[in-house]
Amino acid sequence: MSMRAMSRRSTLAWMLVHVVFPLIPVPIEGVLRLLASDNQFRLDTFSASTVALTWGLICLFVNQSLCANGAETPEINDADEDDKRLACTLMNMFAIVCFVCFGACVTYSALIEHGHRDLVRAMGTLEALVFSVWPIPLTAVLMIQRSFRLRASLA
Amino acid sequence: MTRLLMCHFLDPSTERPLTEAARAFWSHLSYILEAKGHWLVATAALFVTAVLNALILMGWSRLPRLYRIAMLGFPRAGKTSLICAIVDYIRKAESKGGRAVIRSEETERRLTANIKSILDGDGPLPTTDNEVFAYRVDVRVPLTVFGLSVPGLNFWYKIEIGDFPGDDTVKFAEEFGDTLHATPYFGWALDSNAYIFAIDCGKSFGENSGDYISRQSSAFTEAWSRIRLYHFDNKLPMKRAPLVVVFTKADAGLKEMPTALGLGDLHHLEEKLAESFKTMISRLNKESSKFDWEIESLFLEERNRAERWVGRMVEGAQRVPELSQCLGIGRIANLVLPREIASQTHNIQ
Repeated sequence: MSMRAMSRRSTLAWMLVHVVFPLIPVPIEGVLRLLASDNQFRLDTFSASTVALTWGLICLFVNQSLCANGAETPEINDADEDDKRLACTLMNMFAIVCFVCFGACVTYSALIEHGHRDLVRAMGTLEALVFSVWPIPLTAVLMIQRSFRLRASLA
Repeated sequence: MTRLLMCHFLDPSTERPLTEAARAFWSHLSYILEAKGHWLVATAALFVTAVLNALILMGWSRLPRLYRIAMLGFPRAGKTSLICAIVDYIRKAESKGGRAVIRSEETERRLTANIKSILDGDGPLPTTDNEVFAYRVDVRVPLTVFGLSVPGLNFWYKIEIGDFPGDDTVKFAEEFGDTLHATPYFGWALDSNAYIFAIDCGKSFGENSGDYISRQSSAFTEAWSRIRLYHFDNKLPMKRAPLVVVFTKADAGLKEMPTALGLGDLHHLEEKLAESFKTMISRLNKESSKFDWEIESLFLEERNRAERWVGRMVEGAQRVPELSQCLGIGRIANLVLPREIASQTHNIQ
């Protein structure tokens, strides 16, 4: 395998593919709602269900990247394997929580649209929760990337 | 509302009860939140969550920051001995304050076996794996903000130093054609934070030393060019990547020199090496702002770190009692380790 044929790997590319691109629907949706509401920025400018779904997918992507990482770097290190298993479990856990939040947000929205106005308060609380805790998986993803040096292949 | 509270606290004779003030304050706060929008609350909660989770995860030892050190060298250049000495040096911090931990059982096993074998005079056990093995040490570093350490808050580094079988080194150094870059170790080494090139000092002054110096110089210069080529779009970090050429077995170098030299003539050995490897050193020095070169020996002990070449020759086949106290190990470790760890380990000895 020549040097040119050797796949070059980049941290920036990994961040773009696994974190930035999946997050794009959130700002797009926010901008559209902002324009539709006369530039009034409110809590419902962003959709909690979209945020939850996006982070669920990001956690799955990172999990997949972690599993593939072992094949690219053939080092033998028992402690690394333990840490990798832990990180995979963490990402799976975050993904499940995110998907549950997504399902709950969508169900609440559907019920409110069908006249269950008493759920508005519960919906608001859930949305505030989703908007508040999403930095936790973000920090975990950054820590995992830094710890296992996850990179995307450029070639 | 403010007037109400001020009246209550500044004038105790007021007849307004405190509960009324609290109720009014709460209704005023509720009015602000509802009028200005919940996004203020969401933003504040989000910020607090971000700060909290960053602080929590920063101190989590199970996801430490990775720092890789690649060791490149010909067979029997003393790579494994050097790795063991550096790991032993980092580990000594453990006894000084519990900062370094070896969590990898395989690292502990190999390290113990190799150190015992080296101190017994047999040299390190042969590296026979098919692929790279990374010695791993986890080091806890206190979190500092503007130069001041925050009590109770730490973050972790995992230092990985790659070791690999000598046969792959032959492919890497002698054949530096296309095939050598397909070796698993080179792919691992490309993504490293710091590089150590190990050169046998004894062979640099023995028979066929001219040929040996030429081959070593061209092989390592070529290897560094390949590494830089891999990172061609990332020039600045590579310019700042620590790169250390280590002349191992300085005691053998002293014995091989034409004139019999004493221990105090290590500076003369240094001058001879600088002259012999002048081309390689000057080129690597241009291409890395953190380039340096050092002399290492497991038979020489450093007594005084301030005076560079003061030491003692250990008689016969007996090594220095502790690998971490061998000549050059402290300086080499501090050159290739992250700045936060290097500053901590500086006073270990």
